[in-house]
Amino acid sequence: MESDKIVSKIILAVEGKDEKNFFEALLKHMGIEGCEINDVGGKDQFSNKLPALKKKTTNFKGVQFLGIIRDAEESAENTFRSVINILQTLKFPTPDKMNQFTSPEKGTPAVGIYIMPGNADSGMLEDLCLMLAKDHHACQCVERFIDGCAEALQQPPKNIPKAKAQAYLAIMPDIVNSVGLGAQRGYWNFGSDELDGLRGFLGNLKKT
Amino acid sequence: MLNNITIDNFRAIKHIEIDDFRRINLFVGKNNCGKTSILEGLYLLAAPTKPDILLDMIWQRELHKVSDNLSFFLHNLDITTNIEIRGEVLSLSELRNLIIIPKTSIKFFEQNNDYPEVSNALVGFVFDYRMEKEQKYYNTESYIYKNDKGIIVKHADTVADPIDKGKFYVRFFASNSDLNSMVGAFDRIQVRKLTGRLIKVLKKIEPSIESLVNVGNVIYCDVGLNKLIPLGVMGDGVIRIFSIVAMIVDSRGEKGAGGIALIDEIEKGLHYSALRDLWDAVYEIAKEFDVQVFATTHSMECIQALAESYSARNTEDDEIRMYRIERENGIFDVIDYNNNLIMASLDSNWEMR
Repeated sequence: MESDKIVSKIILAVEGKDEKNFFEALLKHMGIEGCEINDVGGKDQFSNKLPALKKKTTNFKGVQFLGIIRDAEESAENTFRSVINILQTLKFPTPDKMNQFTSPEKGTPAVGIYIMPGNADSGMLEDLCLMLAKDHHACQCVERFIDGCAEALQQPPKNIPKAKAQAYLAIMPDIVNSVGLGAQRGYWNFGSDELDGLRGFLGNLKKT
Repeated sequence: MLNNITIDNFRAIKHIEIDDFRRINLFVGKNNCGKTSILEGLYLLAAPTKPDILLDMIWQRELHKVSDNLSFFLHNLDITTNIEIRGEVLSLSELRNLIIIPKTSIKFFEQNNDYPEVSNALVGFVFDYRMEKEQKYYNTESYIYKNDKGIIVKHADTVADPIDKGKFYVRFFASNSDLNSMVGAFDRIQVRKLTGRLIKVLKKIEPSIESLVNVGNVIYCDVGLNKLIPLGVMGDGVIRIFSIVAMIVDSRGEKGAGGIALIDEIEKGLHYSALRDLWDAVYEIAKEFDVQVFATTHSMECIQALAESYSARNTEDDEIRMYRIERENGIFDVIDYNNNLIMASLDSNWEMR
């Protein structure tokens, strides 16, 4: 049981334990400290877990930034709208657009919603990771392998990006079985231009 | 049922508002955050024409031997400021307002009394109770004070009918309550022919219990041996659950405002494995007898057991609330959780206390 009664001024709400691992690694790479990352579950749990997070933090007392990271899944716009609805029922400020924070005039905490992978209408964390790895020679082999399997198999993988990400991790020196753990091992290129959008969003998370 | 409460200037509480009470209400929070004082405030709101309950509170806090024990109800011991407790009982369309006014002169209570007075010492309280119901107003006054003979309580000679009809049956189970304190409640349960119901609940925890009876102010049970045995011989779990369930059954009111059970440190002395049985029993009895339960706990397992017990009922009703009381620099915050939020927090391993 967490016993952290001192609430961080910066809170990131992510979809799962693996996302938590990923963002811990990315924020460390960016030199952003003092951020509390909370797993608020996938789309089925989010509507209960975000309010529960609000309760845990005494209604976000003293919190300056709340960043919410969600997978676009089928539609980035629909995911964004559904998060906005939940924020409105909790009486939070709501950003006008995705991937940016509310302005200070709207009150604290400043709220931002980032829809992964960031520059696509659909997808998830694994899509972003594959974009970061696209220049790696191994990644190209993995893409050909999985695409070939998908064509050849009667029952191809349901989630091709996930299969590709797992296959990429499988050929790394120390195998880990999730993209977040891969991030902690430095397997994804955090210097890539593909991260500009997310880096720009997270760059707001600096305590004033 | 009580729907909400606002408490001003009572003990350590300068001001607190708690809304949206349900059938089962659990208060959590650090030591000294005011949980027991909130139960006492609820007690006063539920029984605003009975200043004698201050004596119960003095006993429960073991202050009966302290000479100026009435003063400890006052915020900052300030004898110039009234205690105010307000709340609604929506089912009866009542808005209740109890003002407890400290008095420093015996002559207010007894005009002919020449009892030597210490200036600026608290002598007693006036319970000035006002009730608004369907746009009509009612009020009554009662007193509690000390004279040279001891503590005197005076109730009004007549009380307006709506005030009389709005009386709750209230029972307070303090954290230091023991089996002896349950004998009276058990006797009342016997007289009301509710013993069978109590046994039915206890059998879920201890299947061998066939009957219960008071013999010479000791509660005995029949567990199939060749003689009855005192209930106190049974394990702590049975004794504690018996006491709490009996107390809730005893809180059952007649037609009118219903019953209220106030239970401090509900999990005390119970192994975590007994907590689910406890909450199953508490909910079942509270629902059946229309008793509203307010309890306090420090235990995360107790919170978990309540949430799991309620979730297992698969009901669309929303009858559970938990309130975390936070106190910082004299300011009180109340963070409320419904059952879904408790379950979500448990799933995420987030601290709620």
